[in-house]
Order: sequence, then structure tokens, then C-alpha cells
Amino acid sequence: MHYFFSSLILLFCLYPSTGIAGESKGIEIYAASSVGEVAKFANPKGSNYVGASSRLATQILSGAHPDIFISADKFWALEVAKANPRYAISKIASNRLVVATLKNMFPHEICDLKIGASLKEVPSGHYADIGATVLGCASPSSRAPNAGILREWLKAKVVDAAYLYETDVIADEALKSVHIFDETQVEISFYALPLSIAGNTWLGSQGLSNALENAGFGKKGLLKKAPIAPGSTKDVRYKNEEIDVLGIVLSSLLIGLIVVCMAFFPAIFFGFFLARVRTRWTILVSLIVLSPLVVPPVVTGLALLKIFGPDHFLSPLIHVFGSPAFTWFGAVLASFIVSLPLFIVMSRRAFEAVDPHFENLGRSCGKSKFFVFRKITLPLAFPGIVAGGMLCFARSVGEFGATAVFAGNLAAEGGTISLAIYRSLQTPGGEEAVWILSLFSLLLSAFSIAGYEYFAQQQRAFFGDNP
Amino acid sequence: MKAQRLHALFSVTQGGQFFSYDIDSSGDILVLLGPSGSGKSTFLKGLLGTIKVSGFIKSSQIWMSTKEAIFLPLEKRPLAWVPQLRFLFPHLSVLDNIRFGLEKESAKERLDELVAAFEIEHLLEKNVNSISGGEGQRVAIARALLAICQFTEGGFLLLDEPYASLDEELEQKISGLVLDWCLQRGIKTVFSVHQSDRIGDFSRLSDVKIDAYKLVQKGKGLKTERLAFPSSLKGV
Repeated sequence: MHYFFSSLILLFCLYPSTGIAGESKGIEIYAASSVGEVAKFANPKGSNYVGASSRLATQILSGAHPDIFISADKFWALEVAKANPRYAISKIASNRLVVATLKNMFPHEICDLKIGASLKEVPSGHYADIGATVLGCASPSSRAPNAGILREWLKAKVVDAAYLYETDVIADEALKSVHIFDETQVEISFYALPLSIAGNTWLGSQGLSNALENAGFGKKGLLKKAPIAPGSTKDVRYKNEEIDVLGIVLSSLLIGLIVVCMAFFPAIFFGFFLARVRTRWTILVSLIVLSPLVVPPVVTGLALLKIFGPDHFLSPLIHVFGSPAFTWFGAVLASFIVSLPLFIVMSRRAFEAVDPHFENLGRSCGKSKFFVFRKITLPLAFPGIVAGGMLCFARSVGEFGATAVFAGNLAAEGGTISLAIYRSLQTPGGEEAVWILSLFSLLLSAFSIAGYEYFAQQQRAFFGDNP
Repeated sequence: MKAQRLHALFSVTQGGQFFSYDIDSSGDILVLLGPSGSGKSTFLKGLLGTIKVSGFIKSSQIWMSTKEAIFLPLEKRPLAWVPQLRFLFPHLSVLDNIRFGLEKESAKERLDELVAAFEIEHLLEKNVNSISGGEGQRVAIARALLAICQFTEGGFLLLDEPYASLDEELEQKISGLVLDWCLQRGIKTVFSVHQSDRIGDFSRLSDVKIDAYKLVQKGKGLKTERLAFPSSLKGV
């Protein structure tokens, strides 16, 4: 524990003097949620992606390329190291497992409490099982997807207590530790792995090693030498207020706008095709373009990862242009794929609302099909298409599943609002950002639905009192 | 200028009903009579090519022939059409509706002439949803007359219950205008009406050849039957 906080301070002090990460551009660190704050201190100018070690490791194995990976679990650190044999893992810090409750609780017998834990796949959930054995309690049955959500459960009194990291508890004013496991009972260590994959070669492997070492994530365990600094926990907590709500909102809006622009012509093309063309291919086209609407978004994200991932048929192209996976454009692409079918369905509906009678009438004036499409069909369907665009916009701004898998947790560059809310939920002190972002997403949804209704009404008005 | 011959021999099943048409008209006007649901609109749809029929339709060229596997798309057929209902494009102004079939400004004079004759100048800038049914029908007829002008060999004007929304006085006037316009230019007018008096004023048409057909129930379907004109039209 002591080591952990001392590392925090040390890193903070050391960072500016390292200079390795460059003056204008920081390095990219993927860090386990529980050391996310340390990474931020060490790398304030760079990108710090914070999440469950297992998820981050999976992203790296799927082609993400941070400069440093810090895992809360040796297993995942080794898995990543296996794929990147040039670099060795280093044990950099340790934490302690605790049983936490709300501040105002004074339990007598811990095992009588309903104790929640993270899922077993998450390192803290794995440690919780060891902790339960040490205490002689039953294995926890209430399992949250991650520690952030587990803390929310605790506050909502879904569970009486929870197995958490000590750092999480100290960083959260509402919680306290009622039992602290000895480090010999439950050993929790953090491992760092410097990586240098395509795109980050400017650092060089030696540079990375130096950066790690100098930043305190070194083999020598600099943190061991440093004393605990009073007030350090406070720094941890306030650091979270730097969640850039405005940046996330703007990034979301931009993603929504780009997706609508990208989807506009395909929506018109496929919408018209599905509304008017009746061939044996219609069902096949429908199946291909509309499937992301019903396929779980997570599966869509996985499919994208497969298509744009390493060792695939697109890899020569990706070698030249770079993979969109785990980038901001990746978020746009994932949102696009998931939102396009909704746009197509709405556009198809808009075209179907236009009676072919009007097209025949136009053609009976000697005008070509294309002319009639431009002057009759499209203008009559247009308000309905715009209404579809509004829904597409709302869908893309709120996209989560596919984006989370394909674009990962875009902390620094901003992702969709949903990603940011999810990330904030996992971050101690992120509640305020969660509420602001949730409110904003509600407003945005209301705006989109209102726009949809307005334009849908506009189209209906065309056919209202026509003599 | 003499109107073209129209020879249509085709059959079609629509809404569970079998229709068979055998029409050979070389006159200036073709009238198809019959009560509602007797297949008048279906005949016009066959001429337009918007329903699938078997047989053939030809004027100076073949419009469609099942045997020869020929199908002329609607926009290539030498016709203009005034449907029974929903005859205007709802998103265009009255003026844009009228000039929809025009090639640029080449027929500006004709447009002005028609607009004046049909007394619709005051409607030109209006939204089509704000004009009456009768006004709309005049606009639609004007549009069809202008659109048909682009055919050098007369062409065919298809009128589906054309004067249903007009009062008697206006009907006489508009039908007279339409007939004059078409007769001058060799345009064959194809009427579908349920009563002969909805065609217009025939009293002055003694020198005009009119072919009249009636749809009658025969066997399991409806078939066309040629009527002698004008005596047979009276009292239909």
C-alpha cells in the first residue's frame, strides 16, 4: 500500500524531468483501473486508457498498440508478453485487498454480510475469491462487471460490503475498509510491459524501457524507497475531475455528424432499392445491410476487429494506411456500421410512403426514371429520410457495444458518450461526469426524437389534403 | 391532322377479375364506357404499361407485345395521362406542376396560351394543397396537354373520368378546349367514363370520328364490345 502511494507521488515528480515522452506528445499507456491514476500522474500529456486488465490485454492482443501496458494481473501481463517476446514484464507496485462497507456501517461478523465482488474474470474478482477463502466466508455470489459498478452497488445498498482494492476505498469518500488482507495472504501486484508496435516506433524499445524506469515503473522498484506522502489520496480523487466532459460531448457530436454524412447516400441508395426493387437479390441485400440492426453490437464490433485486425486479408491495406482499430476513426466506423441500418430502414419507409402512382405520373410526362427520381420520388421522401437521419444520429452518439470492442476505451481523444459514461463509472469520483453525460445524452435523444417526429410529420403533410 | 390508329388486344387479371380488351380505333376520339370497377382504369394502366398484361398494344410503333417480347417503358410511349385522383405532384407549385413535362423554356408560348384558356393564371404560385379539386383537375389537364406537345406524331391523351370534379358549365368549357387542342394537333383522346355525357359537347363534333367501346360481363370476365356512334351512346 505504502509503495503504491509513494509511487504515485514519485511518478508525479519524476515525469517532467524524464523528457522521454517528448515535449508535445505523451506516450500511450493502457492501465488497469486500479493504477489508472498512477498512469495519469506519470503521463499527464499522453493518453491513458483505463480499464480491466483482461479487457486491455485482449485489446492489445487484437491489435491495439499502447507504449506501455500496466496489468493488475500477472496472467494477462504474461499473455501480452508472450505475443511480444522482445519485452520483459516488470513488477512495479502492489496493492491490498480489503472488505469495504459504507462509512456509517459497523458490522460485527463479516461473513454474515452480503459481500459483492467483481466478476472472476476481472483480477479484483479473482482476488476476492482468495480473500473469501482466507476469511472462511462463502464465495461471493453478487458479481459486478467491474470495481466501479461494484462501488455503485455498495452505495445503492445492493450489497452490504464488497471486496475492493484499498486504493479504490481510500479514493472514495463514502467507503471505508472493515478488513484489510495481509499482503502475504492475498498478493496483489501490478506488472508493466513496455511495448513498441507499429506506429510508436519513434520511441524505440530502449526509450520505452528508460521511460518506464525513470517514471518509476522500473525493475528496481523505486517506489519502495519513497515514503508515504500525506494528502496523496486527495490528489487521486481530485484528479478525476479532469474528465473532459465538453471534449467528450463534442467528440460524440462530431462522431454523430460524420456518421450521418457517411450514411446519407448509402441510406438513400439501399432504402430506395429495398423499397422499390423486387428481385431475388432483395432479401440478400436486406440481410447484409440490415443485419447490424439485429446482431448484438458486440458481435459487430468483433467482426470489425476480425476484418481490420492483424493477419487478415485486409492486412496489406492496413499496413499502408494503418488500422482503424482502437482509434477515434474506429469509433466512427463502428458507429457507422451499427447506425447505418437504422437509417436505411427509415429511408426505405420514406420511399415506401411515396405512392408509385406519382412516379408513373411523372414518367407519363415523358420524363426518364432518373429524372422522376430526382424531381418526384426523392423530394417526396426527403423529409422522411431526414427523420431517419435524426435517429441515425442519436443511435451513433449512443453507440456502445461495437465501439467498445472495436475502438476500445478512448480516454484522451474522447469517444461516444456511452463509452465515456462507462469509463467514468469505473473511475472513483467519476459520478459527476456520469450525471452530466447522462443528462446530455437524454437531451440529445429528446432532440433527435423531436426532430424525427417533425420531419416524419412533414412528409405526411405532403399527402394530406392533396386533391 | 389525323390521329393515329391504336390497336390494343390484351388481357389481364386484376383483383381476381379477368379483363379482356379488343380495341381497334382509328378515330380521333376513343371512348371506353362502363360502370365503376368494370375495368376502365385497368385498360388505361395497360396502355401506360404500369401493369403486366399479355397480348399487344401498338400505334405507329409497337408499345408492347408478349409474343415479340417487346415492352416500351412508360416514358417512351407517346402519351400523356390525367388520372382520376391524385393528379398533381404535392410538393410542387401549380406552375411547376404544369411545366413538369416541358423541355426547358421552348414551349413558353404554349404554356401561356393554355394557362389563359384554362383560367388558372391566379393559381400559378399557389401550393397544390390550397387549390380546389376542380382547379387541380384543370392544372393536371393543362400539364398533360403541354407534355404531349413534345411528340411530333400527335400522341395519345389518356383521360380517366376527366371532368368528375368540374361543374357542368366548366365541364363544357374545358372539354371543348381539350377537344379543340387535340383535334388541331392530331392528338387522339382516350376517355374512360361511366356515362357518355361526361365526354363533353358532341353536338359540334359531326366531322370527328369517334370510336366507342363498352365493357360488358361475358362468361367469367369483362370484355370490350364495340358500340355504334353516336346513336348507341345516347342513353348509356
